[in-house]
Amino acid sequence: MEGAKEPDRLDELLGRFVDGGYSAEGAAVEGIDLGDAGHGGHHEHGGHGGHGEPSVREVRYRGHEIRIATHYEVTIDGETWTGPIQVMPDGSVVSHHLPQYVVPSALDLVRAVIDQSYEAPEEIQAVFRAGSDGGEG
Amino acid sequence: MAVVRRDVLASPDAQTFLDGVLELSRRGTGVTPTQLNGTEIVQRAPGARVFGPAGELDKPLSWWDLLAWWHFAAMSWPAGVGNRAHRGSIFLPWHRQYLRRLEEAIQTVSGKAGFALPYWNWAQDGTPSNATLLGSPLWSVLGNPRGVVNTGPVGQLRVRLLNSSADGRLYVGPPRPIWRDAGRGADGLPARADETWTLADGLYDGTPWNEGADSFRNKLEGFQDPREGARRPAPWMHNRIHMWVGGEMAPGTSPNDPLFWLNHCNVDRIWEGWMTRRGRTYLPPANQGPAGQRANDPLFSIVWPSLKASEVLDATESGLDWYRYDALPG
Repeated sequence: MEGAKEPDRLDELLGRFVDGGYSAEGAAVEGIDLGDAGHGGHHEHGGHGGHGEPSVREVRYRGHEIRIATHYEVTIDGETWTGPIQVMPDGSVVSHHLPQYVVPSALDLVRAVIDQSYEAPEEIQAVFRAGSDGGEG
Repeated sequence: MAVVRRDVLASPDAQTFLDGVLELSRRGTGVTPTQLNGTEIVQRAPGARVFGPAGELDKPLSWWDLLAWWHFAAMSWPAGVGNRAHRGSIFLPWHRQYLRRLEEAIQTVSGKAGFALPYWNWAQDGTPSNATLLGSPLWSVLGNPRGVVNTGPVGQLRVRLLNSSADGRLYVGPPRPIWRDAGRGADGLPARADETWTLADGLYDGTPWNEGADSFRNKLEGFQDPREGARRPAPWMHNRIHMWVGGEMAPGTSPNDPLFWLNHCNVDRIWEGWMTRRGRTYLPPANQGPAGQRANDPLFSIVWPSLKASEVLDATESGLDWYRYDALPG
């Protein structure tokens, strides 16, 4: 398969994207404004354990209000790991850093983080090192 | 003209898919990470900022990289619950739009207007052992399931973006192969029974509209066990595929792996099966529910025009005329 010699549909779409200042289609949604996302990267809503905040579960049971706030302090090889941990209603945990993972405990989650980053193949770890050692953004 | 999506192990389009992926990975966009970092998108979704050495930030991304960034930006952009593509009702419509754009892109670069994305029918064989799954003929098409992928056409694929699960950041580096870690994160894939239980839920979605909802959408996304009263190890359905394959499929840059698209095509097929049985309905409606998840909220898009959830419910000849499936579950 050879690249297109003449401008094609993709070139046309890309041209519009660039000429339009890289604007997002469907960016404006009523009820979502800059304030929703303007205070950091991987935001978790509603006390979901992001940015060092506790993960909060609030439920009603037989007329009583239950609130459980869970705070984790995680270190890996002595270094603090600040990834968000959200506790699900059944006690299992999820994290935006591994967005599809649902595991029984924070320990299982941190093991998965180690598997998928610290113990990743050298080609992968090199990208992390280059980016975090003097990398810009 | 609606094309027909088929099982990747029987699809005449499988080779065109792989060729198209490689072509998109070689075809530059002229758009650099530095330019993306200066956009309103990153202003609104700061987690989508790309980090890396200056030399890499100023090199244009490929089309394949740009598709991965689109996904990452969507999941970095909070909605009323979840984000603009996950953990909420919008999960299925957003990915339907996303998959269709890849299908159209491959139709363009291949010159084959009849090209249809293949799907990975992962519930086909029930829940065989990991050893059986690792010996599946799928890997002869998609490349090795463990380690750096260096076999088959996917062994030639090179990507530059990577979301770190260690610090959550999105990094750019020189072109590199993808990797997988299949079978480490979970034992077995969803079974036919899981699919049947998921399809049995007649409610598309409901309060609280997120990963705690008791609904078809949440069961298919994989935050809720589809087998009521018979809890199995989490996660389930769509989420379990990501976790089972691992490696490139684990973080927010999972579209780097062509397998991402085959998984989501199967997820879309299950949704299509549900709508064929239940009607082409969507919840929450336009005037209720969390922002970004409602029927008439626009689906976040770059490069391509944006549609609404209510506009993508019928992809067949009677609607958008995009595609249909050769077979539906249920």
